[in-house]
Amino acid sequence: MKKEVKDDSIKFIIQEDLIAPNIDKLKSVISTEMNSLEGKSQIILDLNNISNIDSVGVSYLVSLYKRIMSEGYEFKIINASNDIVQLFKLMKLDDYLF
Amino acid sequence: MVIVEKTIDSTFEAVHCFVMYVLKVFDKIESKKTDDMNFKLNIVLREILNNAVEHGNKFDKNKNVYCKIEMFPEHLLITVQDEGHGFGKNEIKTNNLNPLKRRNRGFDIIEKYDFDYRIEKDTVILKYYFKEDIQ
Repeated sequence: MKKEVKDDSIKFIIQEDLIAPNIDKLKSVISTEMNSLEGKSQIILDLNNISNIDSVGVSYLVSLYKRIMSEGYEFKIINASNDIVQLFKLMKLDDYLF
Repeated sequence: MVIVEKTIDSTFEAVHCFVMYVLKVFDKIESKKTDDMNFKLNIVLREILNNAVEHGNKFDKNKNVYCKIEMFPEHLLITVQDEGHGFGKNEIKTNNLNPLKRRNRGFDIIEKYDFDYRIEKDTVILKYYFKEDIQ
């Protein structure tokens, strides 16, 4: 995972597909990053490199969204493929995650 | 016509490799193939196979998951069999109205992508009817 830090936001650029074999590692990396967000108000997840996703990945995004919101940050997903956007719409998650 | 018939290990990694293989095979089939169908098949296969690996075989290295994919003129048929104790449709709870709290998103996804499914003990049979406009 790459990250881009700006004055008030941090962008995580996800490199590995959001699928079951990858989620534990991603969870651990992002969890570590979440401990050093001082001064940031917005967290952005860039899914430009993601073409594969499954329900484990979806559930992780939902839990990440909940954690980020509960800690008072803004959360946004950008550059998701049309297929993934459509998936979130079908799951009625688009209003929360975009 | 049988497109793929294979037995895989009970790991998420094996599921991923198998799905990528199926998509390659599917990619060579010109009829009824669209990008839209590609994504549906990708995610639905992952859901049903991950379920078999995790909840059916409980990641047991001594157990395998069998998968057969058949294409008929009007529909696609996917058969997945694990070595677990099986389960019933009533054990699948997808009815939480709050999208942030829903459980069993896997079967929710399968339904949302218009795959019919039936469960016969340790076997799940999925059927997808091709839409007229993509033929």
